[in-house]
Amino acid sequence: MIAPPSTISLKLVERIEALGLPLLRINAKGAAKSTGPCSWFERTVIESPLMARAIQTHQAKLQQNTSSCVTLFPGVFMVGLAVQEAAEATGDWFAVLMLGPEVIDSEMLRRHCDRVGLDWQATTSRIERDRLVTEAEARRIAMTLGWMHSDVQGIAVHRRELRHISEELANNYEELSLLYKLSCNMSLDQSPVEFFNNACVELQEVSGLGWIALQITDEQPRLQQLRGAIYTAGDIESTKPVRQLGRELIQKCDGNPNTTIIDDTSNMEGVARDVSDNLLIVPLVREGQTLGVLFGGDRVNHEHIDSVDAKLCASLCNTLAIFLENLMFLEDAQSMFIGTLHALTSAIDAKDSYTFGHSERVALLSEMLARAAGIDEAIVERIYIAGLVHDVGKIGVPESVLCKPGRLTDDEFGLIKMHPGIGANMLRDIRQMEDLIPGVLYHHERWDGKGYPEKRMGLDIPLFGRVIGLADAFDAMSSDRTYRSALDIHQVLQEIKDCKGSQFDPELADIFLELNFEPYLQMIQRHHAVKRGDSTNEQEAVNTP
Amino acid sequence: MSQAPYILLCDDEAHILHVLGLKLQEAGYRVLMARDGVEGLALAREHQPLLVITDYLMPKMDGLALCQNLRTESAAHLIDFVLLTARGATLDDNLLDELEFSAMFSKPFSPREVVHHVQKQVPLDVSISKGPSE
Repeated sequence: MIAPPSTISLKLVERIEALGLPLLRINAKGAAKSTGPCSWFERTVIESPLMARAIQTHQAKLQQNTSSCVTLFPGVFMVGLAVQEAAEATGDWFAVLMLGPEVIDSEMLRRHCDRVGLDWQATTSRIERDRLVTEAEARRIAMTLGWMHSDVQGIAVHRRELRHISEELANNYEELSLLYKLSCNMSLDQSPVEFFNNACVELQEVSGLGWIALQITDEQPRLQQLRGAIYTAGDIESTKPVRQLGRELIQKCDGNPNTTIIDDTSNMEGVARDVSDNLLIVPLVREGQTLGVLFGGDRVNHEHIDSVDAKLCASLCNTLAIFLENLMFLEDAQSMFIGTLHALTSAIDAKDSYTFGHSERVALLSEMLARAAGIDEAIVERIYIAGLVHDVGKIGVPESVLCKPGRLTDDEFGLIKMHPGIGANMLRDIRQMEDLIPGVLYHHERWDGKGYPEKRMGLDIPLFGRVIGLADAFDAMSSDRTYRSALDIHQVLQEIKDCKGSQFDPELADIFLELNFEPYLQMIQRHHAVKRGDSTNEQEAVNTP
Repeated sequence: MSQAPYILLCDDEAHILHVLGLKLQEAGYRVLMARDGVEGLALAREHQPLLVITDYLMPKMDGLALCQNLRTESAAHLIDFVLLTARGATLDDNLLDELEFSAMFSKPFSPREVVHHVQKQVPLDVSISKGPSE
């Protein structure tokens, strides 16, 4: 048996052989050869030169229509098996031969016998007559073969398509699972640095790009600490040119969100060609603003960067851009919140020129103390804010009392003592500030229970109240007041030490005494400078040694 | 001549079979595909796959029952099992421990990760000598 035909399905060949029909492989000149078993007489007919000529004459029709049965000579029927796929390089094609009883008395057989010197009588007596078919049968077989052939070819096409679809689907699965993983990590409490690092590593693995980098723009103040950051994954020799390329790409894309594939970087300006031979560039754009750019190159196996890579990176970048935008919104909300609080507390501090900047300094000291005490960073931030608003209730105390020089009467002092309660009531209805209330309400309580408003003692005083109480007393003693001048910082610290366990939480007081007061002293200088309407540092205003 | 080892894929979702089947074939394995546990059990008995990747919920016989059946058959003690589950499916931890799955993947999983796991559990060069001879 000669090599199995490659352009028609092996399944079809098997079936034709099972039917006992000779399958012919025919070359461009019309010369036919049986690819499988066939009878002596069939072989004689097939190899006849007359056949080759007849096949050539009918070739067009035979190759065109599979289900039609062509009568080459009386009793010699042929069914071409049209090859829809690309023809073989040899130009060979296939056909099925069937012989009918008419062949025995045909002119063709006589001429053939004469030509090759066969005895006609002997030849016809050797014909296997049970293999002969009528023309009507031949036509029916031809139709059946035609259907089978197209079905088998259809199956081959479907198989190829299925493979292709599975390949596509596999890519989609990768993409989906990547996006799923990222969306699980997209919560704003997670560190953005970790999020972007993970995103790059995962994407680089899935995409098959040799390396990937994500450059965040320098020009977006709302991105705070992420500004200008670069995250990379994969095989990168040095980050410096990659970072420079990232900046160039951000400038170039200028709000255009389209993905670009560059197969050859040698014609590009800038550092691109030093970084990679080819590039995939996906800008991160939200509402016309470029927030960053994701780029990568050097596909593993040196293949071209294709639309699958581009699509994957683009959908990831969309997610990354949304994440960046959310960070910006969060930053907006936070700075708006803090900004509003600063405005509010400055308004309160401004009621009394002596307390200018007091709330901000108490916030700073409270934050420093809380952090040094090893309190969780998220709580430290809340303590800072509580420090800012601790005196918000003073808005309800008359200025004449607040700014009165000299001793207060009992009634006046009663009014002052109302400010923690007033402040707590003000915050009670603001859901986002409910947790600050203990700091506002209890910052005038004392460890020994002699404070106000509830005369709480020891650890009954909430942490916020104890921390802010200490910071508040320290700042009050360190700055000038209507009723006295500021004390020297050493005197103040001595005072804290002396009141440890009576006015102050002894444990917190010990930590407080160890603090580095440099940031506080700088702030107090700044406040004095602003108060005096100049920007020089007024050393004498602060009682530093 | 020794040939690449068989991996049995069992899932009633045709797309999972086709995607994982294609990727495992590309990685050089011979892949058997079954659409339920009963079919999977028959194929496993016939071809002795070295690793079975099975969906949890399937008609006729679920993935856990398939594993239990194969685990109790002496010839199947070498088989490694990987379970595919729907995202968020709740499974009995004790049963999972007992059946000793080498991995579990929740859909949508990454085909790449599944193939990496198979390559780790059934390295091609080693397993050829270990696999059934034909």
